[in-house]
Amino acid sequence: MATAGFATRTGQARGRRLSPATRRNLRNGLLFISPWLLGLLIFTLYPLVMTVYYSFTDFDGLTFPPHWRGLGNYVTLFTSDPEFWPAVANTIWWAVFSVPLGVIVGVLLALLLNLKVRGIGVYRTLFYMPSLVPAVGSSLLFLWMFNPGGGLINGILGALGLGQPGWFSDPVWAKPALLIQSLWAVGGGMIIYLAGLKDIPRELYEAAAIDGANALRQLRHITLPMLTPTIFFNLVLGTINAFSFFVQALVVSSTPASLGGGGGDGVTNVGGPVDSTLLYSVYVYQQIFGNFQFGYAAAMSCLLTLVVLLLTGIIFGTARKWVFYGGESR
Amino acid sequence: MQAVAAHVVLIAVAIPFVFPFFWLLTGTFKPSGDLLVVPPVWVPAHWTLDNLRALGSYGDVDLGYYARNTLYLCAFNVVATVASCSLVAYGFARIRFPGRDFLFAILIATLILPRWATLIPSYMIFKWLGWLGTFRPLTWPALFGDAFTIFLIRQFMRTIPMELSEAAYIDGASEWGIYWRVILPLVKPALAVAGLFTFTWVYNDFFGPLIYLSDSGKYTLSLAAFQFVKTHGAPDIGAIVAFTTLVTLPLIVLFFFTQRMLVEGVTLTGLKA
Repeated sequence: MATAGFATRTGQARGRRLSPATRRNLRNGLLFISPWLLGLLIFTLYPLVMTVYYSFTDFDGLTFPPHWRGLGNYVTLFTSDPEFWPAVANTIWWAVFSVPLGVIVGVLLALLLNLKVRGIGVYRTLFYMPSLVPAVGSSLLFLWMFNPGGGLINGILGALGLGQPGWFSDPVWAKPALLIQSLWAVGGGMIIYLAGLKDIPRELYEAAAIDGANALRQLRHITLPMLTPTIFFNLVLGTINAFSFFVQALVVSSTPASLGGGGGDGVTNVGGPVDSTLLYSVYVYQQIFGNFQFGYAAAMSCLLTLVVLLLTGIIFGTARKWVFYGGESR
Repeated sequence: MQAVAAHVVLIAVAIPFVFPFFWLLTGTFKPSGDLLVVPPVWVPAHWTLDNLRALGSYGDVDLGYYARNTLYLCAFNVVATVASCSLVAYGFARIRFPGRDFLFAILIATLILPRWATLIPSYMIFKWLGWLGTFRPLTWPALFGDAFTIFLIRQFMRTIPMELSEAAYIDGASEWGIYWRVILPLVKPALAVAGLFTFTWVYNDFFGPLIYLSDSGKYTLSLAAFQFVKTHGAPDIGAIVAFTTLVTLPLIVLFFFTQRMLVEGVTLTGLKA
């Protein structure tokens, strides 16, 4: 609200002193961005304020006005909700493993694709393709491959004489299975790292080679530092996405056990088996569309938003220490 | 010698990325009895269309509807997003007005908001409008632009020299005229990338259809596949594998036709498709 008001007020209050050109630009500029400005008010700022308001109420989406509860929802969340802390723990597990692994595997693949060999474009396509598979498609494919009752993966593990976990239907292995599934789609990040690698000036390597630096030292002292802005960018996006991770967990936990899934119903019973895939977002979804606890879910949404903003701030705050901007002209 | 070693490593690494596609495609044409067996059946003993036929024979499955609904949502969003975002991007990239940079910072800030921050009140707005169960919650918001796409198009527009706009202005062109006749033709490649991104996002979207669509006649491919799997079990694995292929294949095919554009777009913006 303040934003739109700010621009208009500036325009009106100083209207007389603004040159005709500036006034014309202000009018035209606001006109051109007006679709987004309207959207910002209707679909971002108003909802943001209302989410905070709902979070202090008991609201079922039907009864107006919502019943004021003060901090009640937050107190319940922190002190007496048996599923809140497991959901938090699952989400931390997910972020701690999926974000760094995504960065490491993505960078390693990009380094491989940066090799100068013939036909490298074919490999790039092959590594990239899985990231285009829709989340539901990839979930169903992995459910089938990881099916403990005759699926491919356990067939291979069995032939090798290894253990055969229940994967998505086993509380211990459901999250690792999701992790493997998400790493399959690592190509989206990889392409961005590859672009970052291509931007590193060749002269740096030539100079290093003359100074007698071997490949490993070049990687350590040139490639990785020059890649840190790209890594930083992906780290921010990856962290945000990790905390909102939802679709795959919902799909695998709502698939019947005979198909190797968590056996939930997709609405009130989600995040199984035994809450192992009850990620924070999945739990918020359940509170809204399964239990119709809109106020309670709003409180959860506010907490999530705060945490995401805080983490983004922390990553930005540490950027000075490890992100190398020397190579950029900005 | 080094090149041979590189290819050996690359092929070894490529296998886990490629194999699931092979498994899915061949599985679609295997007898359904061969889909969940130990030891695995690597290559179909005989190729059959039974799984696809089985999928089509369920009374509650109408693939034509799902495909049509998905295409409608994609087409609406592509056109609306490209139109609205090119306008907004033009305002941010080509017009210098008081408060612009502040508003642009707000736009960037909205990128890090999790969807839950605004979901419940947005849902209430659509409910109040009587739009639940219709396509409108999945289409109308596109008319207001999307922050990622605005950012993408703005980056392209900024690379065009301002002198071009100034010359057109001196020749008597209005701001709209400059947008429509000078800048838009120059950013056509960016609009194509934006349209392609939007298409893949909308095609992949599961969350929106899940919460806003209730009537199975309005299901998208992804949502229909999810609902199908939820209500069926292992005996229907043939139909499920066929459904998975139908959901997955269109984007892969699209990718092969637009690969260069897509990869360049991703590279240029640092955004994932």
